[in-house]
Amino acid sequence: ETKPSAVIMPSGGFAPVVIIPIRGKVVDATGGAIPGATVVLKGSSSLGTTTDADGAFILNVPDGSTTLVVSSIGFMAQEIAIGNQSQLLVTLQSDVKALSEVVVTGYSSQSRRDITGSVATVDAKELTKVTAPNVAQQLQGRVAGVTVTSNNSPGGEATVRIRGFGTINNNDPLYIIDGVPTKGGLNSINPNNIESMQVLKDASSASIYGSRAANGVIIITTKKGRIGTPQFTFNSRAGVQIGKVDLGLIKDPQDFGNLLWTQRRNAGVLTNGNPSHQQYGNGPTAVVPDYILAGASYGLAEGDPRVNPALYNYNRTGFYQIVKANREGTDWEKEILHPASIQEYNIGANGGTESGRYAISLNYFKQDGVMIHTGFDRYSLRSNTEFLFKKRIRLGENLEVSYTDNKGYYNNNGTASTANNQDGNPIGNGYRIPSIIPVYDIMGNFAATRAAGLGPATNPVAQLWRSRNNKTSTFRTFGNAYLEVDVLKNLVAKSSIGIDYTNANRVGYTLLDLEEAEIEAANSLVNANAYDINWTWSNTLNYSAAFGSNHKLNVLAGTEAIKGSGRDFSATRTTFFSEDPLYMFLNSGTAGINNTGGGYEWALFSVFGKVNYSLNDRYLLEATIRRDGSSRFGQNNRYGTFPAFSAGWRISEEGFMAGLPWINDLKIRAGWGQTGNQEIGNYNGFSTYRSSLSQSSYAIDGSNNSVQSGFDTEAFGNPDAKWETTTQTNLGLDATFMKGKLGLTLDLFNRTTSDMLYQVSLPATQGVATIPFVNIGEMNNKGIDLNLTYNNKALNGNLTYGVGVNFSTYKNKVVRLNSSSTAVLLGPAIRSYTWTRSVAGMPLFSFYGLKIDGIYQNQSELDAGPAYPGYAAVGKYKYHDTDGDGTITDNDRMFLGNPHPDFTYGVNLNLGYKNFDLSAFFQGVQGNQLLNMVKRWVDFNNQAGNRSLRMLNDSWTPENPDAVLPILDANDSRSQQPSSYFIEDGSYLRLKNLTIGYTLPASVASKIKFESARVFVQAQNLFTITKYSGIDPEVTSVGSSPGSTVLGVDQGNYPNAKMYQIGINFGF
Amino acid sequence: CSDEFLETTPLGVANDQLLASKSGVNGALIAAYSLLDGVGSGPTNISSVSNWIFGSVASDDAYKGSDVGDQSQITTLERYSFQADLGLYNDKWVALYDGVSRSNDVLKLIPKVTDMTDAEKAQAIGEARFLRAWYHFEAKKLWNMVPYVDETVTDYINLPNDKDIWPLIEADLQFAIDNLSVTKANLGRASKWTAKAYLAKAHMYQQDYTAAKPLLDDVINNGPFALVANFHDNFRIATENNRESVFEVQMSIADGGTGQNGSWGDNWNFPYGSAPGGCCGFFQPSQTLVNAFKTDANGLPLLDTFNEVDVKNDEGLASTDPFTPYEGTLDPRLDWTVGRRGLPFLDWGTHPGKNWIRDQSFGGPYTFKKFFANSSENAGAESPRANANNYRALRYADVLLMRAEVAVEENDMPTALKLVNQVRTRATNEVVTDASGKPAANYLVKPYTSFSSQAYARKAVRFERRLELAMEGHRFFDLVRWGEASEVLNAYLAKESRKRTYLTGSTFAKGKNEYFPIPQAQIDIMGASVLKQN
Repeated sequence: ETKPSAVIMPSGGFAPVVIIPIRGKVVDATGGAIPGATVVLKGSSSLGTTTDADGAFILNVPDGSTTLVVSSIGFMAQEIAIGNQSQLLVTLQSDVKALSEVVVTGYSSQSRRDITGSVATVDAKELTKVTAPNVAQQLQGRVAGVTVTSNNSPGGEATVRIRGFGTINNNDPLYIIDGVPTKGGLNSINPNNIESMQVLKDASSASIYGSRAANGVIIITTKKGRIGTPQFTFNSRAGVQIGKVDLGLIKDPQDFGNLLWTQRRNAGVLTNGNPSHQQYGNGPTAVVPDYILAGASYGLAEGDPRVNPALYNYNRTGFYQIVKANREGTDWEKEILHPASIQEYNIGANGGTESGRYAISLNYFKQDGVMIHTGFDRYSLRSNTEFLFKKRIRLGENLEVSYTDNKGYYNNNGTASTANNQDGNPIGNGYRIPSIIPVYDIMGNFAATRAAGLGPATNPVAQLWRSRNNKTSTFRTFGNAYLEVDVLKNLVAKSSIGIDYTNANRVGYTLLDLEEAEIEAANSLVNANAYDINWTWSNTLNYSAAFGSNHKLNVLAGTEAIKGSGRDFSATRTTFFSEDPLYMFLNSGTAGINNTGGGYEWALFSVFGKVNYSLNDRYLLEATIRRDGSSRFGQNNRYGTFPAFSAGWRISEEGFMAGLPWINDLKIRAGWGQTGNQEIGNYNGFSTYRSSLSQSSYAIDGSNNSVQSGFDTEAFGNPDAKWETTTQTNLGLDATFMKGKLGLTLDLFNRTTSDMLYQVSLPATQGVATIPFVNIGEMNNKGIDLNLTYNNKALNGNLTYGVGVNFSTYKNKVVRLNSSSTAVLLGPAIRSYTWTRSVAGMPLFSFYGLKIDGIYQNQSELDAGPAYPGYAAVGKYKYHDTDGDGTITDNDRMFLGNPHPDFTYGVNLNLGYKNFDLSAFFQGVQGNQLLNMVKRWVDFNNQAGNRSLRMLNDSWTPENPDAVLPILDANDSRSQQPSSYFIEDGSYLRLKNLTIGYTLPASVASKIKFESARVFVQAQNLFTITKYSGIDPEVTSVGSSPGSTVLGVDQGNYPNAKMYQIGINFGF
Repeated sequence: CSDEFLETTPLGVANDQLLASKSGVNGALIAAYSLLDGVGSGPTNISSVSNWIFGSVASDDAYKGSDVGDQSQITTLERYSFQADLGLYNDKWVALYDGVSRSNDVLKLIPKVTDMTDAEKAQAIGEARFLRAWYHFEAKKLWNMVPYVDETVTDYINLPNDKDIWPLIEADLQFAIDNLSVTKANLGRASKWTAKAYLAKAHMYQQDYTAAKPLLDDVINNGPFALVANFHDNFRIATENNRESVFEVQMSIADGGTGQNGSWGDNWNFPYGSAPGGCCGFFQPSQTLVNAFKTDANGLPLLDTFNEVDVKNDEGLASTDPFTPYEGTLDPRLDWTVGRRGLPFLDWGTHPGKNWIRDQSFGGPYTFKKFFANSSENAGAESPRANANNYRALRYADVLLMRAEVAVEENDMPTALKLVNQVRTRATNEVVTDASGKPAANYLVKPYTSFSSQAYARKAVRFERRLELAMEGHRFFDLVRWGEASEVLNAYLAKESRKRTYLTGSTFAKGKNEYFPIPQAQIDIMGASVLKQN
């Protein structure tokens, strides 16, 4: 080939510059193409491109250019002389120091080699292998030291904990997305746009974020445009999800009747010498009726004149419902579940020139819930652009606009996770409602507990159907605009304005439920609207320079101002003429006109700085400091200062390591730092009064339908609260061995939170109001994070394989709650009993109750055991006499376990053979306890309701001495009190994801005009190994404030679904 | 610049500068009144002003009701195996002390106010101190040894329960007597007469009949009160705030609240299923209570033998099985108090027995009736179980019967006889009638002709009090102040446990079960050395 002809380009008044296109291909040592490699002209900051899927590139350079620089992550950069060649072949050698990637840390980026804190980088490609509406769920099991619990309901948020529980206060990490902070709402962020994700785990890396960093920081950077011709991508996947709930409940109504009969006989609850029940009659055996309801009659036989369908009336007045008994038994949990579809589409465009680049993407995500009439939809548009002026001024923006719909019963989960894991939700009603009740009555209307003797539970199918139109629609705008100027050669100034705007509109319907035991007075509609706006203005100056060949220095200084505010209102009306959703708008409600609303604002102002120094690429030092002022603290303690220091020593660079060639890189790190927490509400310092229509008003004039408003204390203020401080020491080690094939990261940490901001329970003698946070108490977490990777190739590079393992463990301990060593933080009362407590010396949220030493088998055992008046009997639980006083009292309660795992782990396997790829991801938790509250409902007399087969078959009798449950006794209300019976091992191992993909060979793809094409099949949550007897061992926490939080208490979670999908990824 | 940037003010709420005015003080006072019903500071049903649990279920008036597993914490109380950590004790404690705190808020605001006259201030302070006394009085009844919180307290933790607080309650009530107006500015407020009646009641609780007597005489002779014509007018919406009401807790519905201004604290206590209210079947009258309403041929109660033979009931019968109600003579107040099979249940239709009862084999054949509103009087309620029926916390009949007690202790038989008969005579005025307007049962109630001895009179007065005030939340406290709790309740348990087997094996421990356990949650907060367990 001959040298291509030159193109003459005009160049602004100067002599014409001749531009020559240089073509080439970049390959690895095995000859495989390297797509996405960067090719730039040496000495130019703007002339560059990236290679395509075949590793090919074209770069227009001025004639006379001599050298190109070619680089790619994981390979050593290489300089190539252009010479006279028209077609360059560049072979890159893989970089044994593979950790040379650049990672984004606080307000700047750093080479991974130079990092001295504990920063985990998450491979965005691995993350998005798991289909989930938000990136937090995808993070589960990926990073040592990061624990994620999914809510499972469509659009439900995940709970993320970094290195255990640092405080009794809010434990949520801080998210920084393209420099803009947020505390949550990740559902509205499309995870497919994520370029990289860094988790700042220790204080030395996180303290640059000061007062909000105590729970760790997750930094998310979205995809930027790349210089080159426009590339389009289209990714899609679709599949089905299958949920299952099997709690071993009684299904045969005869079994249920038999259980009732045994219970009543044993208790001597007899009528005319036999047990009696509204449905099962009054005879020697329980008789399953043909009809459970006709008007106000129960337990009827076929042929009874009262079951004549002509009498049927489904109006509120004259209501006469006729319901047949379901002789086969209704499997309620099955009735509320269905296979549900999930689908996702992403279209992206990406490209740019030296002076401007762009990345835009459009996303549609739709997940129907495995529970009927629930679902989540997201539509989002992201646009990231950057423009370069005068070669030194960059103006850019990163912006995502999204609209999400949370639909159905769990629609409010995005904001307050109150619906999940409660005994009153459809799962709860599903295990509480007896199987003799059919879903529908004889005319196809819902049937339920209007039929007497069957408890008060709601028909869960009806519950889900009636809330099918409930919806929270959220519109969110999230992003920033920035200006970056290269002031001097080594000095960059940056100013960024970020915005997080959310507008959420919620509609909730309450429809008449005439079939229930406990019916609604009237139908009603609530329509609520809330907007929240946060803006963040940050300014930084960054100086980086090398002095000589040995010294590298980087200095960062900056300021940041954040302001958040919001307003909300909610309106209700009742008594709608029609329940048609097209009719049910507020204006058509005729009574119960009611509304409420409020607002808030807060502000944070900060200055911060960071210095990095590296000597000989071997000795690394970093120091950061941040000073924060927050509106949430009173004048006296408004400002807090958060310092951190860390150092690293790259031992592998030392001469004495030369004899150990199998060690490619070895660095030890040590860091110390302080971070803070300001999650104490916006107005902790103020004592306020409220006027509440239902809580502080009174009909003082004797009226029957109006009240005069009054004022009662809303909050007790604490103007003296100061910053909660978390001090963390971290020791770490990064190493790669065997030419980079084996990588190891190990971190040991000790994290102590002092001056813990905590809502110390106040005595009732002070009255009832929001309790202020005060600085009191101390918490400690010690732990280990370990990450191991091994990657290798075989068969001439046709086979690639890799294993990644992460392991983490922490030990949580409440050091002190307040000045009294006996102080107790009680968990919330759940159906009259308190099940958890936190005290000094024990892990947070430990389970507390009586220990069961077995079941009394005979009178002599009973006589020898401790007294328990009114309870102890043969066949009943033998509770442990902890205090040895011979009597069972409250003082015999003890700690029974805690929900913190011994360790958590993730295992990621990757296998590639030619164009096929396979990946499997396992995730597990070991050694945590769960409190299975569902058992209280189905194993004991906790309201009338369905019971378990365990209760039927494994309650104590003289013939079944090894039973797990006490003797059946209709009068036993005490065996259900908090005890060791409810505590179970919550360990599990789950195959979270299994994917098999096939990538079309580039030659084939190009024939169909694609740059790349891949198809894959995927299964999620394929199997779970656990001994836990509840629905799922992954149990979400409930509540967020100190006295209302429970962790690891299972009242029935939204089931974790198995998901089967196929997907395609196209680039063209 | 940044300091200003960081200054924020709470939005949509008030502070004490804003409330330091006449109307602000009145607002704080309204909030203090609004907790009288026991609902509004978190706890609801447990803390109800009606004391249906602590005054009635704890006594021989009623069972917990509903089914075995629902609110089984109440069963432990009913069996007198008190567990201090159960939520119910704390719920009641919290509601009462929040009332105290709201009363003190008024007292703390008043010194900052400039637009009130001294007279207006005295009136407001009087009302606040009356309410503070009222809330403490309730706590005193339940727990005996409790802390007294006044507006000078700043350390709310170191408030030991080591003193008898009667003198402090009396001082507040005396201040109210000295400063409150004779007539009330609003029907719901306390007057001078209210305070006098409560001070008398405080003396009665201390067996100080000498101190109680002049106050009771004053209320009876000079106060504005009288018995209303019909017993049932004390429990109807249409006849609220009548002349018999010495102090009444105001209820309101369809008022923009969420129903909690209505009789929310008793909203579990409705018949079950298709019945009025539809939930939750708690608070079922005991057979012993029903038996107490039997009368002899002279229309007098069977003071000693009433519980030997049961009033016939429909236990074990389906609603469709034939049943003829008891045909012996009964005090008509029974059927205003207790819902029983075959009798009209206000305007809700005839009580069908089992079909309205959640679990008859557990809770027995009766339902609660006394505070029920007619269906016609309940329009617009936020819940079928919320109604605007006021709770008459102190009725004039109660005052008369307290005065009768004083007379008995003074051996003044004629006065005792006159007062008891005044109450009995009124009971004859209105009886429950069937559709045809005929008495729904065989009612016979007559005045006593004489009291043969002081012991007999004491028994008669106490029995009358039981009949008149049945299920109104007073019985347990009366038994305790009379020193009869152990004797009466153990006999009750022995009798009832044959029907209600869940009571088997329970006993009332004399000297221990007269008072409820101090909530463990409060002891945990304040320290066991400060707040001593009963």
